[in-house]
Amino acid sequence: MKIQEVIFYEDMEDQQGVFECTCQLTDMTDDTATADFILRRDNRTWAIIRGWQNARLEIDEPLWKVSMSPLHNRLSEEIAPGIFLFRNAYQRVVSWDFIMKRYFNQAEKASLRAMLPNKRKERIISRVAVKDAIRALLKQEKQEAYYPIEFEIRNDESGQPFPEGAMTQDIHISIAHKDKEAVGIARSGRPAGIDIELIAEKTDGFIGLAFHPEELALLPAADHTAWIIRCWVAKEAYGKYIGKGLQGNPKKYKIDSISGEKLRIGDITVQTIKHNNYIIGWTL
Amino acid sequence: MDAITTQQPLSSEQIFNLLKTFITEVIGEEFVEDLDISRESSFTRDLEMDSIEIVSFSEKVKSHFGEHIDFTGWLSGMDLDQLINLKLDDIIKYIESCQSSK
Repeated sequence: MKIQEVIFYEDMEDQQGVFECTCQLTDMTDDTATADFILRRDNRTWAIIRGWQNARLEIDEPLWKVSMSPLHNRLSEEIAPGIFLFRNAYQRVVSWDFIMKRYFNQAEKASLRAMLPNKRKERIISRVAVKDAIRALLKQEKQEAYYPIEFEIRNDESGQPFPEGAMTQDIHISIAHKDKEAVGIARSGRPAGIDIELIAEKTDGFIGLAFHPEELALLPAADHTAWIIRCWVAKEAYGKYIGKGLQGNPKKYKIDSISGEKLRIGDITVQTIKHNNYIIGWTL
Repeated sequence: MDAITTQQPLSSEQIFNLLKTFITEVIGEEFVEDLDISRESSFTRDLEMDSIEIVSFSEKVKSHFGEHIDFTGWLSGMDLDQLINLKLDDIIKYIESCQSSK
């Protein structure tokens, strides 16, 4: 922030009463906004500020709300009950700095700063999504509101994320990202698995490697490409739910039945949805 | 007769170059440009490939070498930490061992 000049027409120390402030934008670039201000009291000019320049943030509605009241707002979008999505939609370094300050504690920020920029953004979006999922869960189950910086997201030796904080004991999480999108889920008392995948055609060779013929026989006739991805996402979410992942072999877990958009593997049901060009699936 | 069986065993260098081609096909040329793919590159850490990309890669290995190489079977015998640390070199050695035992 910069100010070119301030001219006081009355006593600077006398700040009692109601002031009327008129602001006129004089210049706006991609990076900065500059304005002049006139402050008046009792119909007399009290001061004129020229050349007040602020760095422009890419403020959209979620960023604005989080900046005004971080305790009661979140950056992620709740795309289905308990499922939070956040995307890499910001271009400016200042926006990412802003998100980091609002969402991450000192230890988390230090580890984020040590990463290469692309890796850092990928990490930030998934952590924001899952922190919002945890906050929403705490609010729903305990009627308690928390700031995102009050707990941490850590990773165990196998890379699995887990929350660390007095209020997050017994909360299980799962995160997933694809391209510039990240999703997060939080559950208390039981594990959760989530996955996101781009809807894209797969070769017959791929389908043969990933699925048993009995699984393919369950698929509805229409929308084959999306259904192949739903099945993939279901297996991936299931693998995360049991804490093992796909272990390089998607055939290890078998889809037993499909009902609507729900896929069943063993005694676990995976809910899937189509969201833009992606399939998102999570264990119920 | 399956054409694969008449093929000469590939040298370690040839396998490496072939695997690099498969990786490029799976993750896209524009991403490979930023990566320095070596024998020591790990699939998840260095190449940042996710499961669906690794399976697409497996499929290419399988369709090239045929049924003699049970790549997914080999992978599924691994623990999670082994999979996370899986390097290109491990696969080259596995393919070499399959070729010599044929």
